[in-house]
Amino acid sequence: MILQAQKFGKILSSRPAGREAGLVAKSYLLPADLAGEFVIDFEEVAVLSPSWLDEFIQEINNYRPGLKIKYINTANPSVNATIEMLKEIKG
Amino acid sequence: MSILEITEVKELYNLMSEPRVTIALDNNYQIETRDVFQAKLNSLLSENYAPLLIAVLGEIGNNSFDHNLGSWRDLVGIYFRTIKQRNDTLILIADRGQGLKATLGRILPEISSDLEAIKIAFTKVISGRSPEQRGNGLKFVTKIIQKNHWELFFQSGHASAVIQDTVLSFENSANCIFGCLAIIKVSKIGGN
Repeated sequence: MILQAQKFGKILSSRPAGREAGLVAKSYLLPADLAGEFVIDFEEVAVLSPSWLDEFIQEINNYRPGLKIKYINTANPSVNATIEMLKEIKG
Repeated sequence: MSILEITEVKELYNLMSEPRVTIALDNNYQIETRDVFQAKLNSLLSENYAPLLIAVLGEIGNNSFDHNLGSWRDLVGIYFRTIKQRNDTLILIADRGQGLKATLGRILPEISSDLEAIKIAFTKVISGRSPEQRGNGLKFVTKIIQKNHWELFFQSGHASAVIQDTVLSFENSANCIFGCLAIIKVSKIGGN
């Protein structure tokens, strides 16, 4: 399953927006039998911040604990820095 | 010239030092809702501001809304202004909210001073909005500002955090800022 993050907007930058995106993904975008790997594609995303991704991932994790989340097209500096920051914090 | 000596910064600092404010410094820069703030960030993107700089501004501005919605001290929302100077751009973000000590004090009641609160906010992973698990916004801000050699002045209550020449330092201030005041100085708005 690959989810296009740009469909939530070019600037993904607040907790409420991240939470809302996660809820929408759970309700409308993710298959009921989602298991294994979940890929988030950041192509065309202009700005990503930790609060958005943190909230989004929390919603996905609550929905499917243990799901392996992978990120692709992370060359944008804010996308890269955000992912690194969350990895650092989570350990 | 230090950041705090610039006229527009001085005006904002003086307003933020007032215990009670009834009129915004300039309504053109007072943003009452998160939606309008998001639109401002979009306009910075069209002005070719660097993604990392927009991410940093988004974290600081959204923090204000996250922690103060419904509990602003007086003025609702944030003051958000960019000022282009000869060689630099200054970005001012201020809120008349509860401030770091009161916000963090809700989940860490043992915090005894503004200085302790600001040190925790900038260096420890903790959320001021329990039960959210993480509060990494200001740590992200610090990291990006240091990496890009930008400057930051941030004050809440009687304590400030400064990043200059990539060094983060904290100090007590004789003046009190009611809410939070952040000033970022960048030499180039574009790029990364």
